[in-house]
Amino acid sequence: MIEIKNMDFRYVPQRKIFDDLNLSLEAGHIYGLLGKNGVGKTTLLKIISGLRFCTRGTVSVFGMKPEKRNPEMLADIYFVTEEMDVPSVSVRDYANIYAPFYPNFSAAAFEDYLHQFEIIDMEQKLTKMSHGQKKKVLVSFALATNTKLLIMDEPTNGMDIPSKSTFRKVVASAITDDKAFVISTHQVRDLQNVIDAVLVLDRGEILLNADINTICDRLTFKVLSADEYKDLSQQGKVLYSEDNIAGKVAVCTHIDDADDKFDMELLFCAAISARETMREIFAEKENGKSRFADEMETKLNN
Amino acid sequence: MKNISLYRIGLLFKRYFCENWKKDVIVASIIFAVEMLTSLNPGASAISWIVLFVFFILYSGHIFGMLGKPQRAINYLMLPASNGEKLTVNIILSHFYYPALLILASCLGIWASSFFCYRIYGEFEFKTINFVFTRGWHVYLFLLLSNAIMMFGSVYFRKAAVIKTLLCEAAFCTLYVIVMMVIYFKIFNYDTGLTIDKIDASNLILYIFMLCVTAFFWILSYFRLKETEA
Repeated sequence: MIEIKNMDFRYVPQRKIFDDLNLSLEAGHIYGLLGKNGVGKTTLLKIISGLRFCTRGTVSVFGMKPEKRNPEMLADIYFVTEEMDVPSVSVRDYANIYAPFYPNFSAAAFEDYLHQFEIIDMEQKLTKMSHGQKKKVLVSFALATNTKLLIMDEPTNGMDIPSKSTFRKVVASAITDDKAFVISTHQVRDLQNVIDAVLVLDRGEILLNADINTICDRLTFKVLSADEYKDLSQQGKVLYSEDNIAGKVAVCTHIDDADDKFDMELLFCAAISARETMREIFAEKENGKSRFADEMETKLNN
Repeated sequence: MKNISLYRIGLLFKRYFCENWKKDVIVASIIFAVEMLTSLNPGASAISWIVLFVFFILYSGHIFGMLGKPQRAINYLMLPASNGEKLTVNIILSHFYYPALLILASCLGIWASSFFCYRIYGEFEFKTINFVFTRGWHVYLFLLLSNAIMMFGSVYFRKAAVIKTLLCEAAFCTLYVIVMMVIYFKIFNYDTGLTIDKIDASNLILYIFMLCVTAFFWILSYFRLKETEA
């Protein structure tokens, strides 16, 4: 669906934002795009949407060049931005004005999503709404467009706690095999249960692009006792750890039979602090397997 | 999917009118009221000219809004319509719709005042606006050119777009005056002898010049819009 090859991007000649970035995104996934502030998450989303043009390399979205801003491509992309600029019209009028641009828009789905977000008054003006309410309307509209690619930049910012739960529910219900959602966020705990693939962006490159199953196959997220921690540290298996009241919560290379629970925030910290090890763990070799997969296979054979 | 679709152009117009019809009605009402009041007093016609001109410029400045704020620019550029369709709609709105609306409101104001005079004094004078029927064509072309520059400025400049564009307009006005002077005094020797043929020919050249420059700015705006990032 999205192919980025050897892409460079810079705002000013002296400072490269992306350096030889490669990325491939497929339909049927909800991607979580993680990265530190200023690393270029929004810029990457804008490049994919055709709002920014790369300085080198190729970007392809549905086989088209996004910078052309072809109407056919734009009708299949919806971008929910972090900040919003809404016209002074009612929710109903907003749908009446913008829905015809999207051939697969479902009015019934829009009303259903609004209902789930408890936006009942369709005659309310968007400009009179709070930031969170506007976001709920725009997320509902975005999901109802049924575009193949839905991009959301910090969608849960400004939403109240029940709405974040509703957001997870509606996003999970809206994904299908022919769609991809890319969600950029710092609120990883808000989206942990809805994202099924993680992209970590750091220092101008994609540090990690893997689905949750692969991550859980290759890493273990576990609360360790002091002894366990010492033992695993000596084996070089601990990639990242943090103190908490139960002991040390750590990301380790895969431990058999461990009772673990995926934690996106820890994953991100591990990816940033143990870059090379993470790269090795998730690097696909020419035969399609990583060094880690080879080790696992050898272990099983023995 | 075609690059120019009447359906999508229709949707862009629908978007404009649904979001702006109230502003348009307010502007038309103000023009109507000003024209009605000023046309009762022949000495106040300058006021109506100033009001018309100011509103025209303010109204045309509306096109700066589409890319003025980053968020608005994203919404505008992400609309599923081609650059050609977006530009076509902007040209029609700023070059034809706005002037037509202002002229219509102005005419209605003048006719309304004539009608009231008739009711009060028993005299009905079916007035029209000089703007339209005498020097109107010349002024209209000048406004077209002015709006074409404003449209280009709105897609070209990102910071202090209005001021930079007005400076460009000032530069163009200077160029325009120079071209006029060259045409009138050098090519047609107006200072030595004035004939109707000469006036018609020089006006025709001016009109063609203005239309060409207007089209030039439309094309520049199109290419600039294609390359605009948000």
